[in-house]
Amino acid sequence: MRSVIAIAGAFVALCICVFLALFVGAAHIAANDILWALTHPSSQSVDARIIWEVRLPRICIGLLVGSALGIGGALLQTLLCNPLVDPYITGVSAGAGVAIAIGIVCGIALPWIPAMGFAAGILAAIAVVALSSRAGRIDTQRMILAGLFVSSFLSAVVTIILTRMEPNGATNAIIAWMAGTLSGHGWNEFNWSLPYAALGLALAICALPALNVMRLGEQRADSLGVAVTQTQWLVVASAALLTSSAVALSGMIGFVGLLSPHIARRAVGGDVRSLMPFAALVGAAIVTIADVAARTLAPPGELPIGALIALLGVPAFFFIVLRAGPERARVSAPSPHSVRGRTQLRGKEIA
Amino acid sequence: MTAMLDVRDLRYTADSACLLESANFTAHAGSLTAIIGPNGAGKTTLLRAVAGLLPVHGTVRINGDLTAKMPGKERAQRLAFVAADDTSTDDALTVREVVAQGRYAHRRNAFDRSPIHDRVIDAALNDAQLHDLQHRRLSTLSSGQRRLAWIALGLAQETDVLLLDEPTANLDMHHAQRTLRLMRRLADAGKTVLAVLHDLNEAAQCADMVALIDRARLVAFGPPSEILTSERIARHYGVRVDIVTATDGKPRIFACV
Repeated sequence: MRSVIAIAGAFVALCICVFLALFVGAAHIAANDILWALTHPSSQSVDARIIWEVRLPRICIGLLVGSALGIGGALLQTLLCNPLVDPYITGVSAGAGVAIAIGIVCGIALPWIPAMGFAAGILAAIAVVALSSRAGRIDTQRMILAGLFVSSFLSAVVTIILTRMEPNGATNAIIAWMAGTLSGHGWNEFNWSLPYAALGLALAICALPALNVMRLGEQRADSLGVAVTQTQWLVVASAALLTSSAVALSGMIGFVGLLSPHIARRAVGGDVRSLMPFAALVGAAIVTIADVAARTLAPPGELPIGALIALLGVPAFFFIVLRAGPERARVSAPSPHSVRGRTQLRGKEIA
Repeated sequence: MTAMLDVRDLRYTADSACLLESANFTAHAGSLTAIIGPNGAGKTTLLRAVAGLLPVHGTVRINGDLTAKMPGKERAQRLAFVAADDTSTDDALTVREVVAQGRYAHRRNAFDRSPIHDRVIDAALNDAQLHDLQHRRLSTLSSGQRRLAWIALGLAQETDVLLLDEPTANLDMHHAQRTLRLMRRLADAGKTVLAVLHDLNEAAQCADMVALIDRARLVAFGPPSEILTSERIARHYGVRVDIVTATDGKPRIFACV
């Protein structure tokens, strides 16, 4: 019951963020004009066009990106039993980064760039999974390492591309993508990404019951009847699809995938049936409200939303997670009673 | 008694080392079998091999059905394995949430909230004397209490065969005795219970059969009075013991210091 109330509360908060995003923008539009425009989508008035061709697609993209990153983070943190994991550990963002940088350098037409980023993100995720697999099963510890290695390698490629280019519009486009932005995309890009995100969500829902049992550890899940390997692949495929969809649309928006599951875990506990929807709502709300801030804090230009979220996300992360302490923070940090915790504590004593 | 668990030629090799050599035994319905042996002998390996958690050679049958051919969920409905360690567990889980996962193989879907699941979970918590602690986070419990939570998880699976790895480790005398009585009660109710025990007196006290393992080999299998002899203990544990028969007719073992 508590979870249902919390999820309903998060939904209301998200609705408020969406209304705010709808009402705030460079052009001032009165509330009754906005409501009129919403009910008359085919109207050719300037207000209706701004609402339907600028603000609404941008809000929908923000909702998709935020919820995809929130769900991806919740899935991977649960699967890997590690609260410090975010969806980019799959290598998706770095893979997409390389493709987008190469695409921009080679002068590939802009509409193809998100698709290239999506495909390269999926390829990078496959490389990470291949490096972390043993006998068909994903070694969760190796996956974190493989994700770091692949991401570092691909980020280095992007850096080299940037340093070898003359400063011009192309470099600015790559930097803007790396900083994250919701501008410049419309319904076409949204409609292109939506099916992949929906497929990722469907895979996540399939994995839900088994993923809950995986919180007891792989061996116990195995003995409780969970198809561990199948669940791992489902979760990683789902996270990769969700993250790729988000990255292709918005570039690299950090911290949402890390922070949303933490907030969700504190509100509704670790049960993924509640954790996932709550993390999706929190992620969507964070991106939506951050986009409002990015659009309005430094007019007439825009702040990069990824950098803005990171700026606000770091203190928020400290406040919500670290300040709460090991007992109140509902994360799977090793306790002094667990074998993992005892080993670490013993290490500290020896040191 | 019916042969519930039949193990034939069970072998396990890892990194070219033989960790379990051709184990053969039969455990009957309503029996409690204690698996004993020195540290590193292969007791847990045998239990995990029987549970289907290792890529083994040989066969394990439950009531005549090969476990290797069972889907994971069916196997979990018929055989429960309670591991001794608790690594890689989400510390945010409460005791009740842990025990509830034992119903995974029985639930129709992720949102199946049939009252029968709650009844079974309550019964398992009561049997493990954890009802008062059910809303506590697992990480805040003592190691002995966590051990009881894992046992309750196994009970919530409602299986015919229950495999327990060191169920009395880290438990005080009171809880150890209650756990042994619980194991006995489960066996008397018709379940087949196999438990790795380090305390030979516990094995003598509650087991119908004893399986002695040494150096990856099942060296003896039989009633406690036949297996727990001073010669055998000296040979396999390297300890001289005195064995007396207590008033309940069961052997009591005292190490000679």
